[in-house]
Amino acid sequence: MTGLFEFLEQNSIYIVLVITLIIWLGIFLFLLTTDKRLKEIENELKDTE
Amino acid sequence: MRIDYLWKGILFLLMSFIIIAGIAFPIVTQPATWYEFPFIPGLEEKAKIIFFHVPTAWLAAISFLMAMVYGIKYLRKNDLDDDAKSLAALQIGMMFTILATITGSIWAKFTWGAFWHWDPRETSIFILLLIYGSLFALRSAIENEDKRAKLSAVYSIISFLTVPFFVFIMPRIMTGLHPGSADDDHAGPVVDFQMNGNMQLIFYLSLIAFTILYYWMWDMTYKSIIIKDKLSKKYF
Repeated sequence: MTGLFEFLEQNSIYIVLVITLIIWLGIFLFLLTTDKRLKEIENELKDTE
Repeated sequence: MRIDYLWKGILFLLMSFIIIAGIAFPIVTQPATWYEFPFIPGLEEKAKIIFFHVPTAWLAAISFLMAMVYGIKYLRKNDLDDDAKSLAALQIGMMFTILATITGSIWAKFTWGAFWHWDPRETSIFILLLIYGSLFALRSAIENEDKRAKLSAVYSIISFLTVPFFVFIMPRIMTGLHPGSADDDHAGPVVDFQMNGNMQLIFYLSLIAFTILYYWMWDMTYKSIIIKDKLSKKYF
């Protein structure tokens, strides 16, 4: 574990990489849930018509 | 439903791979393995912007094309849903044009020394921003929705005619600072001559990943526009 920490301290581009991947995961999950919600609203609108 | 999850899963993995490759793959003078990128004089580490900045400009061109296609569809069938699709493409296209301008400008500060140079590429994207920006002004000025849709469709067709010249032709035949200009040191577009096979592959994969992402964003945007229109007709 300390070896990994030292490696990341010396090669900080990988920290940027991990952060960017986490941000992409967050954006992706956001898109997924928003898409789902949109589909539910579409179906509700269809039912009331 | 299953297909739905399939392409979303592919998008997630593909984009994750692009991020890993684009940020962490090393640039070396003599690439030997598949994950090494070639050293391009004058660009160095900054060459990696191509995996993220070029797709934004690509998506801008794609969305303006889609706006024109759905504009034509609207004019033929008078279906307001097509106008919503055209508008969604315009909105996302505008956003990606702005993103391409901002990311390019930050890159230019560290590559050419200032945020803005009026290089042919910068000038052309500035004119595109003006052209498509005025389309939104036009839309917001008209109350009648059929009239608005019709004018917007015609405008999006005419303005798309300028896009190939401003994005693909003019910046390549004029001399300038941007990689791929006519007086680029290494003669010819960056894509063909200075990138090696690995870099080209990841570049094209990144274009594919961003295009799938664009499709998803466009899909959600036009659906929400249609829902909003339906609701406002129902209750107001």
